[in-house]
Amino acid sequence: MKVRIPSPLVSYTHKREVDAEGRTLGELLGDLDQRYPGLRFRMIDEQGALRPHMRMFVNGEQVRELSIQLRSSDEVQFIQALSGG
Amino acid sequence: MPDFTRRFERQTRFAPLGKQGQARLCDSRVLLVGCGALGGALAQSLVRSGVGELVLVDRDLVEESNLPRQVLFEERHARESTPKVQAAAETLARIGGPTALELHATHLDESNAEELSEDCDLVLDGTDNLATRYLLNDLAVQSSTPWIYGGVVGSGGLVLAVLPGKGPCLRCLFPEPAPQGSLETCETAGVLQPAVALVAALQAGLALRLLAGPPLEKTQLFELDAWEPRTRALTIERDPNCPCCSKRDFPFLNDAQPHRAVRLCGRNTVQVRGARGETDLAGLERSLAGVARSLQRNELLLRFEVDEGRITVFPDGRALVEGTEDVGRALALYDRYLGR
Repeated sequence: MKVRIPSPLVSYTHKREVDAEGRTLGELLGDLDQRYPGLRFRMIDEQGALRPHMRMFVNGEQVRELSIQLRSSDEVQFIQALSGG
Repeated sequence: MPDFTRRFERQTRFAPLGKQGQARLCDSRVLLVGCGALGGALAQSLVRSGVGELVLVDRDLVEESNLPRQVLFEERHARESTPKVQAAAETLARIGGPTALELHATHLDESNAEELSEDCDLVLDGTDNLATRYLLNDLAVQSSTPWIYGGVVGSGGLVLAVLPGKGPCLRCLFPEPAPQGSLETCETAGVLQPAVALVAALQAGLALRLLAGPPLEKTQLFELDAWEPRTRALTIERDPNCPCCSKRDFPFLNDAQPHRAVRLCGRNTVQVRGARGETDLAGLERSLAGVARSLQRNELLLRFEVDEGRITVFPDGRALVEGTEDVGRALALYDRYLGR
C-alpha cells in the first residue's frame, strides 16, 4: 500500500511516497524498516510507542494504535511536527 | 489617512471580501512572531493586503544563507548583519500602503508574550522552533485569540489554524514537545523556498479569512509538498483530555522559567539551558552528520562546529554557544541546531 513519509525523513527513502506491506500499522513499520533501515526508530521509541512528535493517519483520519488493521487499498500517512520556518 | 480605494480595488472586487472585509482588515492588529522565511512571506502578504497594524518580533540577524528563501532581505543586509526586524521594516516600508508596523528586536518568551500580543486579533507563526510554538499555543488558547501554525522542513510543510473553543489546538495534535535533539530542522534536513512559499501562502489566506471574512466552518491540518507536489487536508479532533484547550493548563506561558541564557563574561560565549531535561545526544549526532564539522561525542558532551561558531551540548540540554555574546543570537543558534 501507499505510505507517505514525513518530509524530514526523506533522507531514508529519497521520496515522500513509498510502498510497504503489513496487516497492521506495526507490521507495516517493520516492513518499512526492512526496506529503509533505521526509519522505524525515528518513528517508534525504545518502548515501542509512537514518538511524541509523530502522528499516524489512515485515509486522512487520525489513528492512535499500532495494532490497527490495514487493507491493501488504504493510504497511510505519517506526520512529524515540523520545527522549521 | 490617504484614500486607498484604488490601491485595493482588485481585492475588494472579490465578493467574499468586498469593501467591508477590506475595512475589517484595515482595523486589524496582528502579531507576527519571526520574520525570516515564513515570517517574511507572511509580513509581505499582510502588508500588501492592507492589514491595519502589524507587530513584528524577531531576535535574529540576517545571514547569507537566509537569502534563498527570506524574501525581505538582500545581500547588503547579510553583509551588515542587520537585525531581521530592521531589514524587514526597510523592505516593507518601500511597499507602502496603510499598514502601521511595530518592531521588536527581541526574543518572544513568557516574560513578554502577553504584552506583545495585547489587543491583537490574530497571532501568526513565523518562528523556527517548536518551543516558541508551544508558548504561542498557550498564549492564544488562554486569551481566546486565533493563531496559525505553519512549519516547514525539506520540501514539506504543515499548516493548522487554531481557533480556541472551536477546534483542536497544537497540543491536541502533539501533546508534548519532542525531546531536544530528536527533531530535524531546516539546518539538518534542508529546506526549499517553494515549500516555504506554499505554507506561508496558505497561512496568509487563512489569516485574511479569519480577520476579514465569514467564520471558518471547520479547521483541518493541511499537509503540503513542493517537490512531489501535493496538498492534503487531514482530519484531527479536539482531544477531550488536552492539557491546554480542555484542562486549561498553560505551563509554557505561566510556569516561572528561569532565564534560559546567560552571557559568560569575557569568553564570547553564551550558556543556554535546555527547556526539557535530557537531550538525545546520539540522535543529535545523527542529524548533524554532514551538517556540522568536527563532531565529537562522548558520554559527557557533544561538540560541533558550524559557520556561526562552536556549540557544546551536555546531556541535560545545557549548551555553550561560542562565537557570540548576544543572548538572542545564541538562543537562535541553539534552536536552529538542536531542533527545539
